[in-house]
Amino acid sequence: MKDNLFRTLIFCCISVFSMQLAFGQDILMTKEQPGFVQSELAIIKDRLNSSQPVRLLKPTAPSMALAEQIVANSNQLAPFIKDLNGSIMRVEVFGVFKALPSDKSADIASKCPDGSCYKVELYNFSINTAITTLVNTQTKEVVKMISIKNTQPDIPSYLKDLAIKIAVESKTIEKALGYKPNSTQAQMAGTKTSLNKSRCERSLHLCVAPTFVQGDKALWSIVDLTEMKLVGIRWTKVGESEARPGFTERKLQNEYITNCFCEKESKVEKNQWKLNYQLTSSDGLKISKVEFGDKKILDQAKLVDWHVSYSNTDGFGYSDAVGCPFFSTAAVVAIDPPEVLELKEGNEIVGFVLQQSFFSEGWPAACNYNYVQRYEFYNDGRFRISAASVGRGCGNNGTYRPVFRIAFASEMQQFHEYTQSGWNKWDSEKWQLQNEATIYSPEKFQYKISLNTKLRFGVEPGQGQFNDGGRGDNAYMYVTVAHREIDEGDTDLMTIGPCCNQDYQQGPEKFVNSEPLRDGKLVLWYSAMMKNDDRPGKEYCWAKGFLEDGVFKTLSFPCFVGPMFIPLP
Amino acid sequence: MKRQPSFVRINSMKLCLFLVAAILVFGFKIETGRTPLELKKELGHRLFYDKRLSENGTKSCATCHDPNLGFTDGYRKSIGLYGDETRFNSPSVLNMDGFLTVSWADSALHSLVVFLERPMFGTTPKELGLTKSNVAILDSMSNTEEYKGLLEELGEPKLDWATVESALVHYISNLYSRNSKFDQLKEKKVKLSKIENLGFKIYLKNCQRCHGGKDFNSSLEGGNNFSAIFSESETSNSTLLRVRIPSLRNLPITAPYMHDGRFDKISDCFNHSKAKAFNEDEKLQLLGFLNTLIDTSYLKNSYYLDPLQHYK
Amino acid sequence: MIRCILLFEILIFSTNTINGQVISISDCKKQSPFLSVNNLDVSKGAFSTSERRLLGLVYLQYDEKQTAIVGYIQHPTWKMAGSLGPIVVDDKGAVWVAPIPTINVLHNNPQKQNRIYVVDEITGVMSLAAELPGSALPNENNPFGVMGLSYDCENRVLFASSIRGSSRSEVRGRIFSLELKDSSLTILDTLSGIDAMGLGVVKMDGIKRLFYGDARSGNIYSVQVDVQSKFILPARLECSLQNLGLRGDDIPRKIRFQGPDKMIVHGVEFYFNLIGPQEKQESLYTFKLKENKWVFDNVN
Repeated sequence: MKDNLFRTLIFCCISVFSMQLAFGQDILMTKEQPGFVQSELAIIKDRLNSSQPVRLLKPTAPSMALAEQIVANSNQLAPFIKDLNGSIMRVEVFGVFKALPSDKSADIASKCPDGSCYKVELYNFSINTAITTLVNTQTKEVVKMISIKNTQPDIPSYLKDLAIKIAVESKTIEKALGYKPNSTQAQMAGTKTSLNKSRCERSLHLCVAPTFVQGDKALWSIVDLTEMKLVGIRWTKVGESEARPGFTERKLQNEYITNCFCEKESKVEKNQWKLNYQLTSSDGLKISKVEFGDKKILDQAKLVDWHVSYSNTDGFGYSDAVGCPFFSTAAVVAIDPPEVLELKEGNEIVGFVLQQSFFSEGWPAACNYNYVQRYEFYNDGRFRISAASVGRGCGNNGTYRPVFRIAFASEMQQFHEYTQSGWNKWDSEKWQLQNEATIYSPEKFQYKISLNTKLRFGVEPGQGQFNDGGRGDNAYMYVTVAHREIDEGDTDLMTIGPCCNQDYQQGPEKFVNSEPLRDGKLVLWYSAMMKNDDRPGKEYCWAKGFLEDGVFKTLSFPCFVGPMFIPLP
Repeated sequence: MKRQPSFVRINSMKLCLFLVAAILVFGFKIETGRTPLELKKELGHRLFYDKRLSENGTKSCATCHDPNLGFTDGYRKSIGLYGDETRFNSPSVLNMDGFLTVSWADSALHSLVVFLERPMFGTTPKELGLTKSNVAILDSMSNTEEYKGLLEELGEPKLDWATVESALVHYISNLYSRNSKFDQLKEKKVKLSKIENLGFKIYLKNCQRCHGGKDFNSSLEGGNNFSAIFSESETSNSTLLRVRIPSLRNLPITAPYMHDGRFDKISDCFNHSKAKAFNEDEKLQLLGFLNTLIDTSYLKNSYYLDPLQHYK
Repeated sequence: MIRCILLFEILIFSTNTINGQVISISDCKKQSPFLSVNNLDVSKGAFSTSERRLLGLVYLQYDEKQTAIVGYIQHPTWKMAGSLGPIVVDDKGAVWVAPIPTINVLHNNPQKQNRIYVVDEITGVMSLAAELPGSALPNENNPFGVMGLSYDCENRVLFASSIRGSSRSEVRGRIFSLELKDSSLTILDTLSGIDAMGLGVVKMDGIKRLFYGDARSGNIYSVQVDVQSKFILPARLECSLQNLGLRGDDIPRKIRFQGPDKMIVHGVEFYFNLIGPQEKQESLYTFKLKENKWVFDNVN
């Protein structure tokens, strides 16, 4: 029962596709949103469940009120209110105006005469689409409707006020300014163009930028009005040739990640574990100098490549590298910073996880990618190096093959494989496949590695036993000699393998030369294989969007793979 | 100039006459040494791998029947020309003479020529997307170096659909994989290990009833190829049908399994007959036995491989 | 007769000096003779370096309506440089291309990206035309080299932009003018300290100018080019892609001119890292020349 609950939580982990900038504590998590935002969200939820899900402006002029009512109840608007599955999308009236001659084309002018013709502008938050309509209040019909994706009309005053309030109440803004501003200090005039061309591009949300001038500088804030939160800030000098900041939310995120995690190493010390970590140019999140207690465990571990194959026979696919968003050879980049999270088994905290995500911007749309790296460190000395694809990729017949490089510390290393006749030491560089017919030791180890006479680890590949949704690694393990004089992957490795080989030729075989393993330092390369699955109820390495409270959220089905290392007595 | 002796003159003349007669009677056989059957197989070999034999030039027969995957394609269900899923999992085309029927679900379909019409000319979905009225594809292929010489040897002016189908049938019907460890056992060249032997006994007791015969695909009760009822797919309102019993040869390279590719692992298939639930040891033993049915020695034979590499 | 010639020359000269108008000098591409030899209907085809499933250069063949691709040809040498980017077809039908890594560097060794290759117009064989000098070695933080090409038909000069060796903190890119002679290239002049991507050479008011898109800011500059195809500084700012379009920070990847007053700029997302396998994020920006200033018109 407990396993099922835990499994359900993992499988159905809600990945609210939001930007997680660590600029302030008031960002993003629903439970931390201010009371006024939660009230607003509750109003939205109630309305979406009502018989009239479209939010009306309720202008005082009766003719204008009538115009928006006609539009809200029209059949033409219906496809913008419900999606194909019948879920309600969040749609609001942003403006009601008397139609000008310039709003009407020649064929429309006769159907919508002056005096009874009104323009009603709406916005669909779910699909980021502006809808412009012309309404004849005499005949009570909608004579014209145009929708334009990825654009927004001018926002109504209540949303402007809300944006100002979110910015003013933000601890991040207070910290940046050195004081808590009041609403009259927020200037919106200079950001009008930002309203029309939203910069919240990664989530395609509606965003505005209230600005606070302080001396000769201005503090710009980006407020996401779809999710009602602050997502970033930036200082500029007032009096520059352009009043616009010339920055985008994407740039803000990328600069933050690059400054803080790509160009320098960070450290974690927790529960007897000590390690460094850094985002690399193309090898994902790398950990190094890993120690447990007073023992050196790893020199380094990282994720070298993601091979993604869409055609077993045509060889069509991609070899992706993951890493830094600026100046790198990464194709799928880190948008959020690395996280240190609690590691739980049931209700018990048994360690911590160092986790990093890499996204394509359009995820979970087709041909966009989301990869996750997880380094698990247990209080009892176990550790696991794993990664997952979270869909969506370019098809439902995809095969993912991540390639890990794991370099243990200390000299005098020996590598053993469990066979029918017991433990068998490898004398030379080679590779081995884990498949259905693989035999494991009674402790479920396929291999073991000794670092010296006192430190040994059993290697347990994934067989679906880790309660993380994984279904088995089907992995190739390669062992090579760690050369001091030649760089065989110590520094950032360019893509080492093609996308679509179906055998051991995933890249590390280049370093396998049958050299004798002379009890020196070894490098382990681990290439697992996962086939994605979009069948309902069996989703794997997959993601899909669903509508909740009028906006799209994502349901993800990650496919974790990676070996567990267990210290042996 | 010295006059040649008469016997030389006479023999030379006879030799010339003999050669002329031979050429007239035997045509190109003297030059190539290949029979029409061999030529047809060779023609079928090239056509099998030729992506020009598809509406948009992106697929060939080998796209869904790759020799490296036991002449399957590794998908649950194959993908048609424009990304649509086919109805069934791609079956192996090895050892076709071991099957009474050629289709997953049609027990009356025995003719490979008739069956070929589906992937070639079928529209739901389009697999190769060809149409019989479109002979332009064949005309242009006929003039290329890959086919021109071969057609001349065959005495065909150019390709037509009947020739194409016939050639493909000749090629496919001669794809064999029966040199596994278990096959060699009969010739006493090898011995099974302990685990493999135990697995063999489990097979005899639980699997042979349906997966019998020389290709492990025949029901011993009635000797036909068709099995018990399965659902066509795993959805709750799926239709039920009888499906052709697949062969147990080359399983590790022909995943996923079943007519709809519903199983990723061999061991997932063990319980479908509901005969018995195996414990872990029994699974390993049965897997051990099934591994003795692998034979990929054909990959060393160029007849099974892509002859058109250098033409790409 | 002489009067006619004189009149003709006067007309040409006068069109070159019409104020407020531009004249494109890049539209002289000739159909490559090697295509005709292969019995291809060259009226329904085009070269491409951006086909998802095909590495390198291909020649695509379209149907009658030129809406669907019905086939392609690719000489074996056309894959030698891996993934390619800019293409220029010159007035003899030779095809000039440069490598740009896409998604990964598996087929594009960063050491070999500062190069230009040429497909011979007669044989169709691709070979290395030039290895351009870089001010710094390529590194794992910037795998790129040549980014843009533009062809001056009048003088048979190829312009190339390169960002090789640039880093977050240092701009080390260069723009070259290269003379074409017998399928080889000779450097005529170099502009250093510029990370540029898209290039477009044009005559404005009779003066030849090379337009280039800044790969960091999204600004579009131009620099005068003299009769010997050498650059005359200073460059001037013409317009910018900043804050335009869906993304707001696009970089000008390609610049072309249409008619007497239109410039079309292909803007892409670019942060000196590789593009993921999803659909390329690109928009087309149109600028119109009004009173000698480039004014933004629309974006698609």
